[in-house]
Amino acid sequence: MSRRSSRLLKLTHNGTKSTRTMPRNTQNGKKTHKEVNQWIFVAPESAVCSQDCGETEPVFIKIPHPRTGKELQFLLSHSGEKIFEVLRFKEESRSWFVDDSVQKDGSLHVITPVDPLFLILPYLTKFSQKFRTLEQLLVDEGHPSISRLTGCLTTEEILNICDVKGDDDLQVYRLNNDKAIAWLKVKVEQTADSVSSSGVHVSKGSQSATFVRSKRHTDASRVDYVRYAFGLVSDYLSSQWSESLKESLGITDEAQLSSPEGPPTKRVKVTDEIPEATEDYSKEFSKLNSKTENDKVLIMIELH
Amino acid sequence: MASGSVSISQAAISSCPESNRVHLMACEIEHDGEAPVSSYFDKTVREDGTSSGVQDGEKALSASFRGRDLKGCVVNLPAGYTGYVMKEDKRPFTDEEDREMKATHKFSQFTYWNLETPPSNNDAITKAMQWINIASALHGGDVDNQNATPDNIR
Repeated sequence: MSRRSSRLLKLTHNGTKSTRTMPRNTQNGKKTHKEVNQWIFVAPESAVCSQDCGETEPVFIKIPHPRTGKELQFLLSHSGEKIFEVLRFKEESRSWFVDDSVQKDGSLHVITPVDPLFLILPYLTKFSQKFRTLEQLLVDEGHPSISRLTGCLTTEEILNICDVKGDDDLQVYRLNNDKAIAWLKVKVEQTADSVSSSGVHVSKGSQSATFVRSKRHTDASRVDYVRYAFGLVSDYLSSQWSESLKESLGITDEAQLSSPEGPPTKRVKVTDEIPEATEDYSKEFSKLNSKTENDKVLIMIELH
Repeated sequence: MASGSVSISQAAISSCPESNRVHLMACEIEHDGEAPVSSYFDKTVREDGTSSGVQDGEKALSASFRGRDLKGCVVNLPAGYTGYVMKEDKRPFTDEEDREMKATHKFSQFTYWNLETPPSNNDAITKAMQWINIASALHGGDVDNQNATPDNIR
């Protein structure tokens, strides 16, 4: 008993993980006794439920991540009009109690909205020479679910990054680089506002992976927040777009070296360069523990 | 829809009960399934009388589990967000099978426990909650809206 307790109660403070995987039950890798999968979600009501959804239900679909091109699970709302991403927060040595039951896997899956323009930007970039309808843009044999994003986008939204021709019956779009960069810059500003008002620590201390830290937020300047926000936005961009945005924001490399661990952007990158996160979660269950525990860096470490 | 999709049962979402006994424990328990949490754990939970360092208005909590002291606090989910315990009754045999998740419980807050150290804003769980606010700013729609500050997006 005592030996068992001490092992079970071991707590690792820097063991938090966040990944872009879909929920997976750690039991699955072991092919054990369990016949059920269970997950703890935190989600906006609009993502998982609605009073008037009728026949349709929210569904997870696989879409290439705009940064890596690797397929990940996203949640499409019942109406087909909103798309959400799933982030898994996992600390080592945690389990859940729910009423009189235990869930061994202590992961928390947080479902948050994702702007579909990020998801279609790679397709607009690919077809940037010609005007096309949205349906023509979002055709991808390898990732057929991308076509379902047509329901998530209004003309107004697409106009943020595209030129448009046609009338109400038939509209065709073409990427406008200048508009796209302007749109991205607004994203960075909005994110920087949010980060600064959330009291997220973005300067030197934030580079540390430990969680024991004083509450000093005084030494962060607007430049720090913008740089930090750029890292978060870049997480949804190809390296090409990321570079263009960085240049337009005037972010320089030398300004970023506040820590030997590297700038936020680098660590954000690690977050989604996750081979197994790109796979269908119904496969490869066994990889979860072995790889994700060691290889991943948490977005939440950066959010510190 | 393509085969092998996972949907979320609407019937279960609307009918599942709300739980006010959801704990994120500070240890891994090698078990999935029923356990007498109310008799052995819930009974030990006490208010410390001081404020928690995580959310305003929440008291610091203490409890005991397997002889160890736990320090905890209630974490309220951000406005508009709900917690769900999702369950898949039947594990699929093939990748092609359609699957369905059913909510068994929902919750608007849970209790976050640490071993011995009281939870603080430096804990990972705080960052998960911060991410929700940041994501709404980063992914909030109408970027032309000059009034779209983090405050009113939230």
